[in-house]
Amino acid sequence: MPIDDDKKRFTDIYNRESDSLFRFCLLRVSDREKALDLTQEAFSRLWSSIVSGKKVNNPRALLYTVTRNLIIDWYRRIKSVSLEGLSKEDEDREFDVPDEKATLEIELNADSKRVLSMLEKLEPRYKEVVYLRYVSDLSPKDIAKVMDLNANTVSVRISRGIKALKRLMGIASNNHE
Amino acid sequence: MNKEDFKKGISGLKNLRMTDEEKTRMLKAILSSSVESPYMKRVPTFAFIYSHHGRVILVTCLVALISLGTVTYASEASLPGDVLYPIKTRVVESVLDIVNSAPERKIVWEEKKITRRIIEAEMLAEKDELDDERLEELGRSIEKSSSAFAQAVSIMASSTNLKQEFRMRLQERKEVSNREKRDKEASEIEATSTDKVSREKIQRLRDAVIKVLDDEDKENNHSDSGEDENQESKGELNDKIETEIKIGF
Repeated sequence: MPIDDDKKRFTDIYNRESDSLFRFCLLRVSDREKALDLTQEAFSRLWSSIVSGKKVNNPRALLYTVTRNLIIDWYRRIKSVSLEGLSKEDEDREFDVPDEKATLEIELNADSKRVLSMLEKLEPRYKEVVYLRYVSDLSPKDIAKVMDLNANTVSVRISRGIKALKRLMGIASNNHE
Repeated sequence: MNKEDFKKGISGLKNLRMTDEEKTRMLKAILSSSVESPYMKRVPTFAFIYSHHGRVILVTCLVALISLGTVTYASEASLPGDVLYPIKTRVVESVLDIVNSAPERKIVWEEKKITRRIIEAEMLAEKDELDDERLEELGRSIEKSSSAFAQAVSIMASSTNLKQEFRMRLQERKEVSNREKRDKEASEIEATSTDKVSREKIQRLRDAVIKVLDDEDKENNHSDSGEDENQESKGELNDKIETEIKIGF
């Protein structure tokens, strides 16, 4: 049965990506329930695409693209944005953690909290690519698809982001891969 | 912060995950959500027009409809012996027989059919094509229509009047036809013997109608008189009973 094949395919993707996607949502919205909602919504859209027979070549990139847009929409709803707020710079800023208290509530070890706080200090354009590369384990090619950028641009941003992170962490350039 | 701490921090972040219960519940919710099935795609009502087969079917239907209409229209002017005449009598008139099945409409329709047959006979006579075979065919048709007419009339209350009216119309038709013939004869020096024969043949058709109607009338009169006799005997019986009752008292 084709529907059973679709279910199996979707379940495999879900088992592989659900934790990573949930993490991606949780670290941005700092609300477990909201992160669960966003994750579910992203997977529901993927399921709709699969069932309706649309060809999904890279489900991972699709999931992150959908989730990223869902998060942006969510931020726009909760923030009282001005017309200027709809500019590109503000769109990048929407990946800031909205409530620091909420961040502290997430159960993280000390090292993780420090890494996270340093990631937050990076410029938005570096922060997101570094996060997607090292926390979500996305390839530069996938990140390029998610962020609608050129793969070379992504690679450059990752490189510069890592350098900036090393400076923040006080690690010498030759001490980090 | 050194490289190891950074790695620990990253792996700590990666430990953020959903519980097994949350994962199972979410998967169940997603798979049971109402997703539009691809196996029941909504197809616009007239989408078949855009397909090759749909166009072929549509054009075929249109051609068939136009042909049918043309043939039906052309068959109206056909005469016995023509190729289209069976379409006129067996298809078109059969359909009209069904449409005009109510007694009041049947009377009008059957009368019209008889008139049509007579006109056909007249037209054939004009062309000098009214042979015995065609005359017989028309005669059968007229007898059939006359019986149907008489039956329908007997159902209606004012049957006698309708029959009389029809007789009058037949007579009028006869007079018109005769007048036409006389005019034609006047223009010619002398009527040919063929004309006379044709006239006699058509007259025979008219007589056949009158005969059917007369027979029907006779039968009705007979049954009416029978009913009257019965009513009379019933009356006598009632009188007898009444007298006996009176004597009894």
